[in-house]
Amino acid sequence: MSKSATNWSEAGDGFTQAFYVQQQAQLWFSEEIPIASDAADWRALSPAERQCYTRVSAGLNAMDTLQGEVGMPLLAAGEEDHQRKATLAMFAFMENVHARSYSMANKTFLSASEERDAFEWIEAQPHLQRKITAFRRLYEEGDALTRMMASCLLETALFYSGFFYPLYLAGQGKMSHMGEVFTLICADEALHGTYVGLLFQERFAALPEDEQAEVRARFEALAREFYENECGYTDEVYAALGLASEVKKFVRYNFNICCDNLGLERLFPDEEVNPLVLNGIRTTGGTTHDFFSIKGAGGYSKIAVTPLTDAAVREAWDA
Amino acid sequence: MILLYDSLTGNTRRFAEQLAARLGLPAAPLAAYAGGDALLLTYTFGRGEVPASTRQFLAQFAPQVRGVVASGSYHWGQNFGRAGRVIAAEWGIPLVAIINKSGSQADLERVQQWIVGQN
Repeated sequence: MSKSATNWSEAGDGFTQAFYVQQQAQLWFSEEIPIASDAADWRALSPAERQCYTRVSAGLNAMDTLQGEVGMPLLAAGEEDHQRKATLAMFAFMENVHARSYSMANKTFLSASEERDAFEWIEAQPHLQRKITAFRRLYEEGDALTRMMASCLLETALFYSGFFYPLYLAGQGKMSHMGEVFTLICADEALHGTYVGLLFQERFAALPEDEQAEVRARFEALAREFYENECGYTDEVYAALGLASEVKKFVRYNFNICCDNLGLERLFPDEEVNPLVLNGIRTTGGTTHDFFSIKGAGGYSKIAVTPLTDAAVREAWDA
Repeated sequence: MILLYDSLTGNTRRFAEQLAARLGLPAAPLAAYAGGDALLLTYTFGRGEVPASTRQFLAQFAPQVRGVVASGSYHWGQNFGRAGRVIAAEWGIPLVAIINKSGSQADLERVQQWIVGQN
């Protein structure tokens, strides 16, 4: 048990503070984005499009829930340094914000029975269940290095079959407020993947060569197994829309980024990302963020404010 | 020409080393700089910021820097690799390429061609 306090005046490892401050700077909540403004776009989607959107969001909700409840807390517990623990705990907090934002979107766009169906679908979808079971086990039974590898693989690569569709629609000007939610989530995951990748690289570099080779082989086997699983998931979720091959390309692209984060050899040849997806990120990202405005790509609307009157203060004071 | 890199996660270093191997040129971290023409390879942090270490280097040696390559992450949309554009604008250094993480083969070829064209 810790008997000391966090000293932020110390430079620490030289990079953790920068990641903490960056996560703090990009802090957001789903209430700050006017997602209900996408209601007309939602109604204009075909049933197959709505189903795909609902399912990718449901799948991501399950993965973010795992990261927030298990992955990040265990990574934090595995570190000695206070600054690192604080940074990973803030990441865990954001994973829960992500999961909640998917749920808020359900609440906004789905009927109660559709919402229930989406949650039931998660529990019956074999690829998703396989992924959750395997990664939960890696977190609970693996050593620190394995946990870091698993976390990076999830957040940098295995989320992207889900991220594809909302970004692809946002790139066409559809569901653009939700598009911003997804872009904010992507930016958080990009930060988390880079940071956890750095922690991985540090431990990896300290290993003797034969153990490094073993870890490298273990990563490659895990990555290939779950790339295949992701392809099966993609075939099912995107079949009706004819987008599966584009999605798999995007997934492979992000697997390579995962390798970059971990400092390991890339697994797949270079490919281009679908330009509509890039356009989705470009048009919904980078807006002004502060605590007093509703965040949204479409403008800068003030959050609802109730003026405080003398009478209200007196009432509260006397109560 | 020396390939001078500022790297946090190893991506920029890896790109510089691959480029060095292709061209038979030296690659070194900023701290090892000992003068002469340089291609600066750096990264982007946060919402498109130039790393403090790169800023310190440029404050002293910008006139020797012939070009800049900036690594970034495509997730940042408009701010992807923005450090490269900031350096180009603030110090008048030509922007050679913006690369995603440790870059692609096409990025290596583009930067290689630029270097060959300098001689």
